Amino acid sequence: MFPLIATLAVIAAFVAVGIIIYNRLTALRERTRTAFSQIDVQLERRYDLIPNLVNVAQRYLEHEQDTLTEVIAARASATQARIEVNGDPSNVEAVSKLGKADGNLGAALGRLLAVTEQYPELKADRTMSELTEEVRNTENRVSFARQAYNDVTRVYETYRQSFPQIAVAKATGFGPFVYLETTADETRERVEVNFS
Amino acid sequence: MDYEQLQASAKDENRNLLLAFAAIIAVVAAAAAAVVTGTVWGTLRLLELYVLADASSKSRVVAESELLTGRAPWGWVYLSVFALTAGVIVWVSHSRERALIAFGGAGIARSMGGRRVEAVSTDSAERRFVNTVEEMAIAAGQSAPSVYVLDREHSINAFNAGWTHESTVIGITNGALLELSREELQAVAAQAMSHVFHGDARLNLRLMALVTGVAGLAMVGEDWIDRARPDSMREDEGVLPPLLVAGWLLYGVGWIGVALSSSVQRSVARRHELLADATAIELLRQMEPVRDALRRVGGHPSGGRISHRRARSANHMFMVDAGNRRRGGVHPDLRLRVLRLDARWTGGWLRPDTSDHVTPDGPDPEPASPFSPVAGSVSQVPALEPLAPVFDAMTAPIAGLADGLGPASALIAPATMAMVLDEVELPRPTVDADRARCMIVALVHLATGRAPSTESVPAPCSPDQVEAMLEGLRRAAATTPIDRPLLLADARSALRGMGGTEAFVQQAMVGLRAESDLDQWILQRLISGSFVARPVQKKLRSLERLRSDYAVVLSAMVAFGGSNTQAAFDVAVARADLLGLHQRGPGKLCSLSKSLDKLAAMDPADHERALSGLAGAMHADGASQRSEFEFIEVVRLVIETRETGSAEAAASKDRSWKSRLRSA
Repeated sequence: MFPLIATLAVIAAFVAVGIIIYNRLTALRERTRTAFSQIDVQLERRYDLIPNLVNVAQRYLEHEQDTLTEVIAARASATQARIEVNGDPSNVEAVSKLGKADGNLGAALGRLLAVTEQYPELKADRTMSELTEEVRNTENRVSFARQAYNDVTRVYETYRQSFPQIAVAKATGFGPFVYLETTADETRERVEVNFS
Repeated sequence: MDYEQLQASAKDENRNLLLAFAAIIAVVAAAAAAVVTGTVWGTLRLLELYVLADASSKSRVVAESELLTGRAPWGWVYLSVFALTAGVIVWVSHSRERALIAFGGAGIARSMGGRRVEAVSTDSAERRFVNTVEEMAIAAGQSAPSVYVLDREHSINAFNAGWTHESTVIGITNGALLELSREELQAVAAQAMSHVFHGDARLNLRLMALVTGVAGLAMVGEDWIDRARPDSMREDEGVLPPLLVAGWLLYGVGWIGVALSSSVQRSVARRHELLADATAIELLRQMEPVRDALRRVGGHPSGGRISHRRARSANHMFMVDAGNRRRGGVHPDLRLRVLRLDARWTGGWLRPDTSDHVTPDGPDPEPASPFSPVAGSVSQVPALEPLAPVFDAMTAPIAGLADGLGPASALIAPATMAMVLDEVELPRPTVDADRARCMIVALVHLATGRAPSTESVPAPCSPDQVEAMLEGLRRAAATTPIDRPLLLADARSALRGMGGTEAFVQQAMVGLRAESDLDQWILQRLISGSFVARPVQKKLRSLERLRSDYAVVLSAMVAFGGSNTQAAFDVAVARADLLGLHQRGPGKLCSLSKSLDKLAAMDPADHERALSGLAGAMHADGASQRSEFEFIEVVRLVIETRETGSAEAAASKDRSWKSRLRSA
């Protein structure tokens, strides 16, 4: 009798631990998805702002068409990449592509903002200065949303890949999430503008 | 530096400090229980020895074995008293905590002169800060709190207030808004969000409330000392030594407990600041903006000084010390904070940053100077400041804010008042003494419902004149409630310096049934407070010494309106900064009059607190009754006529009161 009870107790303990791990994985996964959707909200805001920014800047930056074109092209790529992700952070390939495209857009915007600093009349334009603040705000929102997503992804991945969680995760279909990494372009903080 | 490790070690130290706090409270409760139990035992023993001294030797032996001090289970008595004392501390703490929670983050911000910034503010500096707060909220995974600006403060400081994540607000001084760069504003927002993230405000609130609970023991001791000492106000002039000794011991134990627990509370608060700095760095992923924001505080002429009177009691909510102390108190030493962030710092502070200045919208402001009024000098606080809390309550509708004053909001709108005065034919600015007298009599008849007659109308007024005035008041009352304080203030202006006024109003008030009707009691007090001389109070008393009379007055006021009188009472007690005040049950108007008259001896330094408490009670339920509004005026007239013994002092303050009502 005793061996039967002991066996049942051990099985029950395993099941209980498995349930606890499963629930924790579920909670962490939902947190990660929520953090990713927050990025999506900020990205949409950013993409909506860019056309206004380019329209205002075009009046003054006749000789900086390359910079403006770069921004427009980067926006188009990032918008496409976002559509492909479709709100699913577990789509590894699509998320990586979005990270790269968004990083390129951020770098292009940074170059555009750096260029506007060189044009006093553009800088003094009230609409432009408000837009600049909005762009800066939006860039920061995207950046911090990405940071928050990476933080919760780190917690999720650390938990998921630890033992014995990894066994439960593989058995119940908890896949990995991808970090949104910065690109080499994006890490540049200042761009030298050549007026020659 | 490993910031995660810094956070982890700060959290561990926090836990140890909290355990120390709990131990202090247990020790204080044990000491207080020992005092009380010892006093009771000692008193009984003395009584028994006194009785035994008269007994015969045989009966003395028998009596000794029967002595209560030998038989009673003093161990259980001690434990019971200990449990009771600990219970009292917890109960007072809980009451205090509940009163402060009722205030909410927005209420605290407004009480410090804060103005809410709309999410779509058109001011570029405000917009910039709102944006940084939203950014940090995203980084912390929290919802963005409301943002407030302290327009009058030109130092560099920020605060977070509120006891739950939902009710938390973040505020910043005008100086910080204009002088910090965007990155430094981010750092300030991150530091404030860190406090929200860690729930520091709620923990701090609990600790403060516990200190209040311990201080309650000292208040009990003080009360026993008062009761045990001879006092000319009491009929019984005997001294009660056991109560006196116990009172002093309890007073001492209480204040030692307060000193120790306050010290721990300050240590916890300092640790919270260091933890918030570290968490801010984690949110920003950079150290420099946090370091530079602190260096800007150090380099500013006013530092973090807040001129508002409430800053003292809310100091723990600020990012740096609001009294601009660099060390001590509830904030770590500013230098220490910078050094913890950057060990290579050589001690230099940063001057105001002009490279990233945001020009405020509108005409360019004059540059701030340490010697100009805008530098935050306390001496430049406007003269109207002492009455600000009550003033705020009454002028909010004039400023166009729907602040929930309800029916009272129509009372003080200038257009409405002009209509009332036109109806009663009391045109401004010219005021007619005869009409003023008739108006006083008409107000009495309006309250009593009696028709004017030759018996009820004193000379030089006639019943017909009073009837005409009454008719005007009734027509005006059909559209808007009558503002009796304002009408009486106008009458006082008209009758100033005229002989026989006091005798006239005494006759006019004859018909009032002030003992049994609250509305008529209020009118009587308004009239007598405006026109009848009072004896000059020679001995001033603090609000703490008048607490029981203040409790009677406050309890009467909260009973006027609103369903949650306890909540209103607690809010008022918090605003008046009184510890352990208890709400009284409904009493008679004559008792209310006695307590109110005793408040005439209040120290002028406490007038503001007392009125602020009453205004808080008026606001607490979100709507104001006309009777509450008039009641505050009654109290104000009582406490402000002590200076000269006549209504002149109240009249001079009334002029400034009226001009603010007109100009707002």
